[in-house]
Amino acid sequence: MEPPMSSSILPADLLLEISARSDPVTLVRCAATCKVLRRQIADPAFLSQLRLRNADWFVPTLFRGLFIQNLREAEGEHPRFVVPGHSKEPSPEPLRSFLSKYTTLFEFYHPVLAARHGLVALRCDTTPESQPAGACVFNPMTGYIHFFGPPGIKAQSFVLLTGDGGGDGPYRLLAAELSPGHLKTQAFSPAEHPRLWQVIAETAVAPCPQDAALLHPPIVLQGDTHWLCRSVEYHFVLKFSHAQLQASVTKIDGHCGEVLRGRGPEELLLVSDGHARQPGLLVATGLDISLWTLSGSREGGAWSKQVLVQPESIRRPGQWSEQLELRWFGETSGYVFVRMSGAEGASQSWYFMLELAARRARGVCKIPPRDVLVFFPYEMDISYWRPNFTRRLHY
Amino acid sequence: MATREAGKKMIMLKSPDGMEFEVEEAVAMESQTIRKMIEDDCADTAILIPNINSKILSRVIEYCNKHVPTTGATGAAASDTVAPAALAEDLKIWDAEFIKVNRATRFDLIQAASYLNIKGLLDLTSQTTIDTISDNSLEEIRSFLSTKNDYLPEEEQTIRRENQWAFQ
Repeated sequence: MEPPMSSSILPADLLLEISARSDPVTLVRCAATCKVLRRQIADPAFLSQLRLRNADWFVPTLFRGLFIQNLREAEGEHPRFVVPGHSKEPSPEPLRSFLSKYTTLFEFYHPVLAARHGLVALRCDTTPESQPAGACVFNPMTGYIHFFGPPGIKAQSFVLLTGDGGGDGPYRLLAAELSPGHLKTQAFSPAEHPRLWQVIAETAVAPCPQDAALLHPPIVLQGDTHWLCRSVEYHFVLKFSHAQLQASVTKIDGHCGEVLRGRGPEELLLVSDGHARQPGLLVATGLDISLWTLSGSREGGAWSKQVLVQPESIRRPGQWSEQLELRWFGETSGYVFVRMSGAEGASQSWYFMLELAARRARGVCKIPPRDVLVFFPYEMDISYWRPNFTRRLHY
Repeated sequence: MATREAGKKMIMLKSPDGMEFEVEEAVAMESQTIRKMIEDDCADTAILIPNINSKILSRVIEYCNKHVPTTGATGAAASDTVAPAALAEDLKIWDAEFIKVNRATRFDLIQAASYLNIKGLLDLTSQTTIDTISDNSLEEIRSFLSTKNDYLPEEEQTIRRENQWAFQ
């Protein structure tokens, strides 16, 4: 192969070389530039060379499905993994193999402490024999699992910090406890020796009301953890850098602050804007879900509201409560998992997936609560993502 | 032109526009293509690098000079006193400066890195290129990569529909 002397046109193999290092959004766009690239990008030989990084935009197809386990049935049902739209099919591999190996995982471990880049952290209060009480981190795609003891602090929240590489590479599980004026944190990393929770760190938080508490789950933006915190007087966003042990506080005031007052913690959820730069705040008021974002600089900015979901698109025939619970946010897929309980509170639940990028909510399923205790969504790591192209463009 | 140093084997690289570059063999061997030529004994006097002009070839040599592992009697002085992490950080900063070139030069460097099989340079040039267009629209990416749109309008519609999330 001899390259031309000087040219602004690259041969297809080098265009592929470049595309392989992009992110899902850019890769799909590269494939849309011309037929040759599309054909080669769809080629399984090329897919094995992909070295994608996470996009700055949501990639809904990173949402893999839901873990489900019926725990109350007398003869314990094994956990399953359900892909929406294929609920009658058996769990897909490699999740099926993982679940058949760890059938009791969800009986002892309360989902979900934290999840990130395909890893899931669970906490355990009661334990099966031979495993310590504490926590475990697993990746059901690779079969990785690691059990370890509890942290030394009274953790109110946990967060998984991962490097850019994702996968089973070095991760840290960070436990956090907010006390008046400071944040106590303790990290666990399998890369450190000995494999124990590390020294407790204290970071000053100011201003910080006496009764302030962390709301779980936090989000991670550019390596920093962001918690929504509540107190009787007001809510605020606490941004924490584990690397530098620095914390900063952004008070939520104005109209948004008033809206938050009196809302239950399950009606609030911190999300990212899809560009991994700014936190946004989802607020469920009755059957209406709004996204509040901070525009302008942190100090001088104002929180503004966009309505994401109108009650009409969520309301279901029958007896339902007019209350939503925001349960989970997938930072790479941009999905939010929402539960609506029955009018009696304890009767049954409707689950929805809200797609943030498309601002669309879809019903997933209706479940009698007595049946299901474990039910949580799973986002896989970018390294498992493959583009999905229809085989033929025209018929 | 580089001057010959005691104990270091030098070789001559020639560009098709007639320029000659004398480089240490170890530096030239950062290129797997040249390494193979040397190992196969095809490189007695000078190696002609076809189709890489002197401007690009000199940049490639500059890159290899910086990235050649500093081992042996003369090269070790610097790395003995500098921690590996600091050295890697220094290289990263140097790379970032090195790749501040226009699109045509970068494309030439990608092709040169591919032909000469210099993995580090190919990684650097490809990654920088894709990072440049990662926030761009389909039309902008198409124009940047100079790919010709050969889809029918209805095919393009299908493409946008099948992965709608990537075109929002």
